[in-house]
Amino acid sequence: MKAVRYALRKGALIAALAGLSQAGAAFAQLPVETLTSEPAIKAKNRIYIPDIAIMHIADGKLHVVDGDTGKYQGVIGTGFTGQSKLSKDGTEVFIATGYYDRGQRGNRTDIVEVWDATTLRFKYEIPIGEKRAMALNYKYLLTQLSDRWLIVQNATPATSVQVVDLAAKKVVSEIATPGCWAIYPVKSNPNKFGTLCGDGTVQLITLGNDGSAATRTASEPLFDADADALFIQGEATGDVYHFVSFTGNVVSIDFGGDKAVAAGKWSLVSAAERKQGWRPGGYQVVALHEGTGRLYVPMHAGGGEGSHKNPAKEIWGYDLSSKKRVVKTAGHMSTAIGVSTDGKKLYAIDAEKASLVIMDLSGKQPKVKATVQVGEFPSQLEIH
Amino acid sequence: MLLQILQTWIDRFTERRIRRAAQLTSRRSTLAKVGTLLVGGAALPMLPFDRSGGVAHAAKVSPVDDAETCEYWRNCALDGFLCTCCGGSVTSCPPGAEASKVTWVGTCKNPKDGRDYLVSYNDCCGKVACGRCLCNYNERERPAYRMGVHNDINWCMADKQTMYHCTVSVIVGVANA
Repeated sequence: MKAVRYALRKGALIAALAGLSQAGAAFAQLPVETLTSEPAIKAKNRIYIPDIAIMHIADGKLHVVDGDTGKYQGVIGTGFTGQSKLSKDGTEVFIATGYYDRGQRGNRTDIVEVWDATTLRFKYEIPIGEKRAMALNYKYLLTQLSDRWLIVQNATPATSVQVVDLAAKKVVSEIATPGCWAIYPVKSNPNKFGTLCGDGTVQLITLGNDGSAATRTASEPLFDADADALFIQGEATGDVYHFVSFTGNVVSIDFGGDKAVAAGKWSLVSAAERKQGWRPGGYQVVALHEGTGRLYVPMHAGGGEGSHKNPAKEIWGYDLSSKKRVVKTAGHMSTAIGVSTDGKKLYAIDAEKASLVIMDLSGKQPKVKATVQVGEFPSQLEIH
Repeated sequence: MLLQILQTWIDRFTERRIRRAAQLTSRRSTLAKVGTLLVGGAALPMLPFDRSGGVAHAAKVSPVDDAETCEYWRNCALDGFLCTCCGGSVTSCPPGAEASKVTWVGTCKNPKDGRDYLVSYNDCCGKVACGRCLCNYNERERPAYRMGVHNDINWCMADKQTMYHCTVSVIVGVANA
């Protein structure tokens, strides 16, 4: 019976479509077309979204999306556990990555690739050492300090950094950073960077003209990696970085002086919220707009030891100067968030749907403007 | 001719729809087993929680005792593909893959004897990503400034062939024994 009904429906559909095609004869013939390539990205405000593509990890991607509309703009391949970074002037994308000459096996080549950020075309590459960290995408594992210095995080698993001289197009030094991780640029000094260490200290390293560590200082212990570890990703106001901790504190550290020093600590959560297990979670857990002093954090409830990568149930926003919560909105299962350069949009990576959620911040509370599915495992976003 | 083309097109469309439905059904049951998610046709990994609802295991062993689930007790800080689902076991790499030279050690409580065991999360290396049973648990895991307890990195990093295939969970001792 079902089969008869299906055949009847199919017959009716064919008749209807045949009728349509006859009616179509009355329209003018379509002109012959020419195939071209889009010369460049059209969107003015873009979000660059790295994707480790773990299901086929040799073949990562950097997706580019229009930050206003969510329209997909294009992609750059990032190889095997590649880290990406937009150049300081926004015209290029650096990708520290590696390839095997037989895809999954063979001889290995590690490089920094330089791509045009607008045409998405390859420009040139710089060979780097094989110590490059094969890590999930995190901000600060590839950092540009100046027109000259690009710093690549290493792990063998002993940790160090490679200093790339962009003018000479080569690696000029390796600096050991045992027990420390990530490379934080210091705005006031284009030769200086900081790194977080497992003993709770922060090291500050200044490069000499040859790219070696001319000076190095270690701070007093500023955090406790056992009891209340800091997430690697934080954001800066001037030279002061604002990190959040696993249990929900903001820990601000001034990288501007000879030694890094504490610059304030406060709680994102009330005593009651702390009891309910409200904690920050994800991979990119701080979004800061320096101009308005708004700081956003993805938060989950019922958290505890091991919940630090849980997606957000809510996103909370704070006024950095008064330390008061001014925004409480849906979490969109986010594990990475960011704010547009004009401070008018909040972006969240939905880890469940592998989507970018664009929220309008012009009203009292954020309002979802667009949602776009992007890639497979986006865990970071960089705003152009 | 036109009718023939239309007929073929409609048949293809119907077939495609049926194939897609079959694919979704079979993927869904697989996904229920491994506790990952299916959204918009893509299996989405790395969410540190289980959405399987335990359905696939209701009649069998508890997930905490089933080495092919993310909830298996040894996997309390495992981030990656379970080698148990890839042709290996908790203590062996699948055929053709090599055990990583370096590793990190997590601490997981065995609910059966109440002991905290040290679990070595070696990666198996030198082959493409297995792509099955992707898990993400993070008990006592820390950022890479504590590299010895970090899981967002490829532990095949010190091998000659570093391609990440899957992760095992080998008992290497008892904590505070």
